[in-house]
Amino acid sequence: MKHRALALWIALLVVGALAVSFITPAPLAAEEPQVYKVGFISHLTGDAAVYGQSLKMGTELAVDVINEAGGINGVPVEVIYEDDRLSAADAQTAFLKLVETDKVPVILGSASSTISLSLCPKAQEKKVVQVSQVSTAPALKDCGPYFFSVMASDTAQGPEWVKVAEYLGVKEAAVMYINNDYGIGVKDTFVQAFEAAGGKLLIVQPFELGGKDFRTEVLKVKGTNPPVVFIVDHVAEASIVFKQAAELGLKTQWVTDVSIVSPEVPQLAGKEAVEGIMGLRAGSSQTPEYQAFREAFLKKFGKEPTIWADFAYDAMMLVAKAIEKGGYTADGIQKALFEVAETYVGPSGAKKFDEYGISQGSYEWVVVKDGEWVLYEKAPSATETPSATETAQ
Amino acid sequence: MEIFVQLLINGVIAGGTYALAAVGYSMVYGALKFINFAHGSIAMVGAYIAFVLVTMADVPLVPAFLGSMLLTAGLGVMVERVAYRPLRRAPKLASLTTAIAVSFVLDAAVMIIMGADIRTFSLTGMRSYQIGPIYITPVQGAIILTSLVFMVGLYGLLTRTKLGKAIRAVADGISLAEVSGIDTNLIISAVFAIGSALAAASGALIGMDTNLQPTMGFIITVKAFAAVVLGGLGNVWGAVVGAFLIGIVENTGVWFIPPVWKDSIAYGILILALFLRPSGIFGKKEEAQVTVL
Repeated sequence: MKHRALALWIALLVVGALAVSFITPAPLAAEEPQVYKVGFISHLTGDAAVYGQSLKMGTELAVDVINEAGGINGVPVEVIYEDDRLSAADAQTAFLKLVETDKVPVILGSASSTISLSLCPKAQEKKVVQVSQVSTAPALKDCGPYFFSVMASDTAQGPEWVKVAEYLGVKEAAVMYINNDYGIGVKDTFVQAFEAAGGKLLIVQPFELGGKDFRTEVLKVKGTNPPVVFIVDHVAEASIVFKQAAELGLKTQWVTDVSIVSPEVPQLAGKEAVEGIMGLRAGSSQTPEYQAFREAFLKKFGKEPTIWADFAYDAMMLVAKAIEKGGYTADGIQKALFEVAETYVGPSGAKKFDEYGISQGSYEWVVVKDGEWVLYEKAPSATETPSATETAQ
Repeated sequence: MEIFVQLLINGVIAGGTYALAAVGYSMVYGALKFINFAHGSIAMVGAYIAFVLVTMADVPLVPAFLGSMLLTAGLGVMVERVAYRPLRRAPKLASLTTAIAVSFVLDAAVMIIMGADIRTFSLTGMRSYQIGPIYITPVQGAIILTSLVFMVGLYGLLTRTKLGKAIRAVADGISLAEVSGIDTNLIISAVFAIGSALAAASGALIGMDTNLQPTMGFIITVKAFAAVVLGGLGNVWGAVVGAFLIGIVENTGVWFIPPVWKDSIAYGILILALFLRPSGIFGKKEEAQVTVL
């Protein structure tokens, strides 16, 4: 009985303390904030942690650069990192925490188009600027004035694949796509562009996020003997698809979307399974901006830049410049973002926004050689059909 | 036809990994009459132990595999001792909730220690062999072989040994076993040791065949649960049959229907089977009355 009474008192105390901490009004924002807080939501754990962790590193590097140069008008930047575990529900919680408790006017993220789409109505409603680093689903352009993405829309990837098909001289191909907003977006633009160019699709095979056994899907594709398979996927699932395709004796030329061009894929799938796979890489690794970024990244993290860290770096840089120009309010940042992006060129390229707040971009072709993604060297005759990369340069 | 044989083999491979996990699940249900939702996470820990032994401690594959089974058996016994035994006389819902908590704790612990990244064993020289129309890798061969060997071994243990007799006695009625002079705590520890060791085998084989993630336990739990209910709660052999059935139907089913339905297939068969036989394929009639909780 005594124990029970004691436990009750402790419980009451805890509840009381919690209640007080909730009721206590947050100190009124001072005229000059001590630090500019910026929110960050991405998949830091779970099936797509590869992307979230990579974006976090790119953001950290940008914050270092900003703060070492004296912050924004002498005020340092602090990024508050929240994990959405690739779940729309967790993203909502993280969003509310950042907006209600931390009072941030701007949020970076998320990576996945599905999660970014789930966040954008709330961001519009609360008037918080949302800058996604790499979300590319075409539907994002309808989000509203507070949404920005520093990576080009997927509508550009499909036509680029068609250029690869033309370069390889194939009229027939198979498509494998991951069944989410992103995968369907890329698949649709490609199917449309490829068929318009007179191509014939042997099979269009979906598969599921988070699966580990894609053997039946691979066998179905193998049954059509495709000379080329275009695949849009994430690192985790793609690694298994390549591994199981090699195990099941599927011999073809793979061409991937931008999400798969990550150093983890050869490590996870095994070198032999991915040798010779072609892919699209967003941005260009040949610019001086990228080379400088690469060196800084190597110095800070001791490894080659991870996938899309350059886009995360640019998103953070643009936000910092927008705060400097427009002030630390959502409306100020929203207006200033369009202006600062006009002239900004970062490691991931020029970031000028269109009317929907979405950057344009280019791709370069890469190929796996000895377990590493390297620039694809086109045969001389290919220069007659310039790719978007070449026209961009 | 050739494709069908390959699909069948793929189904058997998947079924083998489900079966190894399902057996332990079923044994725990038999002994304690509660659903151990942490079982998949135990399998995940087993996979990571094998991974650490192979890639960081340079232990050869087979000893690492057996070592992981042994260590995971210890973990299972510990989990039962710490998390389930104090609640043995409490309503079953309490144990179930605790099991869910245990699975979160294990997932989070592995995520903190090993990171959330996807890991792989990077086994070298693992190419597939072509036997007739079938492609199969050594790991996949090992999955089929291991699951068969362990099932036969378990059958021997349960039917031919004193321990097996005691386990069956506890499953038939824990109070009755206790008054007959059986040390039920010891037997339940043994059940958790065996179940967890087999779960570790399942996790490690899945890890070698594909890859490892701290969240991989969930899908193992889901598939093993379906297999156990399909086979008849608490019936070990039913769980094995259920596991292979689900593996095969999933793999052949995706040939005909979109893969978005793949995980629904397992539960589709389950619902259908339960309509026809409410106690599962091999379940005893009266067990239909036992609620899942």
